[in-house]
Amino acid sequence: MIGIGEIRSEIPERRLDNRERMEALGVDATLLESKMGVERVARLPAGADTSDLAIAAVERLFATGSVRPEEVESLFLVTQNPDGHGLPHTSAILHERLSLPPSCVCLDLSLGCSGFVVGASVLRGFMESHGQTRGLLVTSDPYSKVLDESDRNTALIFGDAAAATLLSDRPRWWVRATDFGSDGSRRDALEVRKDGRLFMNGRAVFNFSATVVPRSIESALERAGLGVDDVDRFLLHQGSRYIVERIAQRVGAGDRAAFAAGDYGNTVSSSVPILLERETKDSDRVVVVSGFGVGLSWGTAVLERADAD
Amino acid sequence: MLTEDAVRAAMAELETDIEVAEVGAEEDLFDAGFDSLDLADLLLSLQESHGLEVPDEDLELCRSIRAIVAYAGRAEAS
Repeated sequence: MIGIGEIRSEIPERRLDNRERMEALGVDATLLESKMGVERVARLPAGADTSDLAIAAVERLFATGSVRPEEVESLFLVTQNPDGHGLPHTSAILHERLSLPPSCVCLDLSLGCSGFVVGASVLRGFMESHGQTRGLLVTSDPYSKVLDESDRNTALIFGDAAAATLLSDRPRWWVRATDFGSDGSRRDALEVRKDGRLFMNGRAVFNFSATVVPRSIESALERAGLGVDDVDRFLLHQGSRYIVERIAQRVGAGDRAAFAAGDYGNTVSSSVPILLERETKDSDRVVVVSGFGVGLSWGTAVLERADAD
Repeated sequence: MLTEDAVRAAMAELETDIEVAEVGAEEDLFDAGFDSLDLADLLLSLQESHGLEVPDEDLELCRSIRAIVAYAGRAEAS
């Protein structure tokens, strides 16, 4: 059986300070702090691309000693902003630059904020089907490549980052239950339009998140045979402070769900693995992870500690 | 039927800093301290509790407590 192991993330040092530009974008301090919750957004260094961010995260993972390049049997990259025009797939670039073996399967998965949770299940299923024991799930989706920095709905929210997650037969977390879904009829709420820039209908995304995600969490917990009180931590996609707080309120998560992205922003498919890496404690036994957004789509998983005691 | 009291009750549940009782029935909610997210949240709450559907293009017609009740009344009658 395959589960989720070591995670390392790369959040670029370069930041844009939202306080310095909120006035120009027509946003007051209350809206920025209490609703958006993002004080600074991370941005790719000049000249860097999606693969550079991804490689930095994977190299951090290799530095832990939990896996060596020659041991990697699969690498799945979640991105919707690949290098160049997307052909070849960016995971092929990672294959070469990370010196992965010829036997390693590399592919890109096109998903946004649900990408880590869905991608982890896709990779897990692939590995279990083929007897693999070492796979990498990499998320790298720098939205700054498609942002209009004068659009208050997106520029003050989204940040660039990448994460590399080891899936293995000796994991930290088992996936106990999941819930996935899509609502393609609402896909235009979050899309790159003809001008090449990201558009977001904040109200539509909020309505979707506040209604669908609590139900998804309840479904996943029911499948796991657990209740809300059994969960040590809810790691919710960091869409905005307001969305996280509303979902937490509706689920009854209380202070077990936090908004922690104030210093770097909504990093799309990397937000959940960053939380798993940085916001869990050794005492956590059951955590719920949920990603939701582009598509509109969602993925929720109930994770159970595998390396306890 | 949606009433002004029901709208005020939904506003109170949003847990904003706004004193709901002090908001005039015809006062622009944005002048009272609402922002676009508060309004979206309020209308979602009323959608779930009263079946009120307000498309994006009609948001400007729902900027006060009384305007929301009137909008709901028109929607119910049509």
